[in-house]
Amino acid sequence: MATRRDFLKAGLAAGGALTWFGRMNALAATSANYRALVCVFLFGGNDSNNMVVPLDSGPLASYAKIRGTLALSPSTLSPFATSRGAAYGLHAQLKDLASLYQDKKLAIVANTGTLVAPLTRTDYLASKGAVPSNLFSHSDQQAEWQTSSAGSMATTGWGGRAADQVAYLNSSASFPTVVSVTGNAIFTVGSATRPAAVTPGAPLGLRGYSTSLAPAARMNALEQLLSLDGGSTLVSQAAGIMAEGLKDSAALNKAVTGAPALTTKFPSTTLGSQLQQVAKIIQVRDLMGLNRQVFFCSLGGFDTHTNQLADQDRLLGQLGPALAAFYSATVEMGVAEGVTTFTESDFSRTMQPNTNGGTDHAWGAHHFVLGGAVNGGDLYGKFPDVTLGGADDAGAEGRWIPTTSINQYGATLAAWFGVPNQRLGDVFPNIGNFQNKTLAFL
Amino acid sequence: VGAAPLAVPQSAAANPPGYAAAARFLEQASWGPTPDSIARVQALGFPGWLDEQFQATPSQISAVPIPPPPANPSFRPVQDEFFYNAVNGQDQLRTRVAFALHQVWVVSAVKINVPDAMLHYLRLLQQDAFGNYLNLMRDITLGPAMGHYLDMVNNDKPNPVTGRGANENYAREILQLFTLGLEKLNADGTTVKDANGLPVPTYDQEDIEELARAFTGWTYPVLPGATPKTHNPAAWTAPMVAVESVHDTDPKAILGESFPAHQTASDDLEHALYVIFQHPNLGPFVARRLIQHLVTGAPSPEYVARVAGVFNDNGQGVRGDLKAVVRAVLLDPEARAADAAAAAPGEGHLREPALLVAGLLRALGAQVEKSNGLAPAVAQLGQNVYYPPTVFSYYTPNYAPPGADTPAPEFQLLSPSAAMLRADLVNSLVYGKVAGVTVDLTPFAKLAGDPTAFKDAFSRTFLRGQMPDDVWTTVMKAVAVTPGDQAKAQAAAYLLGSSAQYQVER
Repeated sequence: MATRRDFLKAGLAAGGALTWFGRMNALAATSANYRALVCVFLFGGNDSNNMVVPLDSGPLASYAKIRGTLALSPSTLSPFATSRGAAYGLHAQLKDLASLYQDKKLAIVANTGTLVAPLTRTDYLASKGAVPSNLFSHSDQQAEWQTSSAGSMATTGWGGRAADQVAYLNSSASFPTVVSVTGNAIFTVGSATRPAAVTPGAPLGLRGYSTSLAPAARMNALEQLLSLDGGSTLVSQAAGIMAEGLKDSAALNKAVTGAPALTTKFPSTTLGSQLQQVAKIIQVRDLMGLNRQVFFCSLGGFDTHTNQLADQDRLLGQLGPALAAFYSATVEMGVAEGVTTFTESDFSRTMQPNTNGGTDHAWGAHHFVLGGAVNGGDLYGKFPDVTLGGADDAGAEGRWIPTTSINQYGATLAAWFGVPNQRLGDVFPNIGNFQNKTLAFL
Repeated sequence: VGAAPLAVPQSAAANPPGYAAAARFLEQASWGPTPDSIARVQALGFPGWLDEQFQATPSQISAVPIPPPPANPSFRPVQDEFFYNAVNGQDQLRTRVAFALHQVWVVSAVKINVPDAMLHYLRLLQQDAFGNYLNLMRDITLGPAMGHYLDMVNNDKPNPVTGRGANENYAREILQLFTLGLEKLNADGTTVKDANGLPVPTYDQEDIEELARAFTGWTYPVLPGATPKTHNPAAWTAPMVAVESVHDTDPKAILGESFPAHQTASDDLEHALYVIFQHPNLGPFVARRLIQHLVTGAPSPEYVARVAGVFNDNGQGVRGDLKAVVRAVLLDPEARAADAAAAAPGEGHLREPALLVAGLLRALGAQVEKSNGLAPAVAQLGQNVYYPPTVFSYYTPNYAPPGADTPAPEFQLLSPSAAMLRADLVNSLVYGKVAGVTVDLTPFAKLAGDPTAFKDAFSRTFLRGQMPDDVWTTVMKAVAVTPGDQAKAQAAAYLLGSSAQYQVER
């Protein structure tokens, strides 16, 4: 593993980087208390039943019987134990994450999902108690995971609202607290926080400009045009978004110019490129005056109604190595303790397969939390009773009613991030409905 | 390569639209105005132009050559032809409506990058764009592309031994995304609320499970010379075929309608589609989608209600007549109000990337060849044509930009980074070279010495002849210090094409 000294040497050797290091060193003290949240959203509804498989004989037999041809063979899994002595296995494509679990950097949070308040099967079936709206719908459940409200019409996300709460820690920043590397997402929008967007690999700044007279005049004109809206709010919004892009990319470009390349190798995949971009931004956090950051990344394709075994294998084969590389990069940069990465997804999928090789939309899911500050090497929350029509099933197909809510999951992350306990309700409107506001994984 | 305008009697349009009104109408009804198409609308009037477009010969959607194995046919020619037809096609309204319907009835090459499969689907959209909505529902539902995309193909009845149920994917998405939506709608598209002020769901999980059973028992069409099987191998050029042995024949209850036992696969499917087709949500649902794609992101409830009324009855007792619906969308007083007056502050919509590029190229009289580099360039802006990332399409109808409280769907693709990439693509088209595309600014450059004519040419090309003074003054600051007539024309075209005033249609 690269040490800070190696990192410095690499930078100094890369001629021209001296200026960059000069700037960095002048700011060395500010990063001591740096913290970042990195959300990796698995779009489509990841089947977490085949991501974390119970290996104790009772639940394993139940899993194998229900899943049938979709059951993974225990011999292919990476086994791990919990502090309570239960045995589980991670999907074969997640070997890297199993190692991080053993190193106590990765925690698993079981059966987490959208909830307004704690809910039992009895109450759900009797239509008693508050139920999140539009369960099993992709768009609505994605929105609820991102906004942590009990409705799909929220206009801000919890990443943005958490950033609102810590804005005072970034008061001299030249760059937004929240960054999406995968386009617009409501997770990133706060009341006062507006997100930056960076497209991995895209140039920072507009094409075709130089400092000579005509191009400079063209840039001036382009910027002036952004203030003319002709009385249209849509024109004004479109111009405002472009203006943000120009400002943010200029700030980022200034900071990254001369920054040494990270030695950590990232996989050349969609998620690998996104997380590499996140690492490059974290690398220059001090130069942009950022003490707190929130990032949003995503990987799509998890809606495995058919061909699940092959499709999920390929997707988890992208997820595991990308997360592991990103963790290594945070170690390389000396910020592993300050960066916590976590997964979200629309929902999990039915334990009961359908008739054509896949599974349908369900509810509670298992999720990963990764980072140097994580109390890793354990499974948090309650693993569902793997019984169709059992105590945790919303119906008869294995749609687990969550036993940990996205409110608690998010509040744990947000509290670590720096949102004061008494302000958690501003970020997670329903947190007061839950007895334990935060879990012990951070 | 616009064909010469046909001769039109002077009397065809009672009150010929002015230049700006015709151009504005064509921003909504075509891939963007050209001098020829503006003249045509002025000659025929709006209704006459629509009638002509309804009769126009559909653009060719060509087969893609199949290379010798093991190579796979490329999907690119399908995308290239999309841009070729958008820029050059004479059936502008049909291709524009078909592209809107593609964004409602989504099939994505992300899952099916077999050209044959997508071509069959795209031809159905083209063929049914001006037909009856029920035919569109049936054709797309039974098309093998949708069958594969949302898993209705080879979806067998539940297995009582294993306990496995029918695949719910198509049942859920046809209701949620293609026809009814999650919540009950009033006739004007607003949400029905219960006594507690909460939205009333259109259907529940049981409806989905029952509808999934109704949709069981379909497989790919039989390949020539092949023996029919329960699960035929993939075939893409004809509708799916029923296999009764794997169709669920138990009784069903869907959206409050009883389905008797022992209906055939085809009976159940027709029955289900008819129940959906007759649902009161369908009119306002379709009306709102088409208005959003063609005219404005946040139509008034009254506008939705008027168009939904035409969906419900075209005036001759026919429900689902898309020709009448398209006419109603484009001729509605709300669509036409800003022809002669200032648009309301939130009116209109951002040009989605494909429309931005096609419109700019048409406006500039660009030559676009059958094989061109536009698809990858436009994909950079978040719209990889025919590859929407999910069944939720390229962007969602309810998206509102941060801080806004009304929908502006196309803004979902406009991140700060994407906004800059839009300007970069305009830069490539004006200053650089995109394969298969020729932009010639000489006609503008020739006017550089005549300030009035220079301004007028850009005004008519980019802003319907209504160039605001402050915009032009700003553009001219850059043009004035740019040496050379060609470079002056490039600077003006780049600044206007990348400006928010051009990128928003209102």
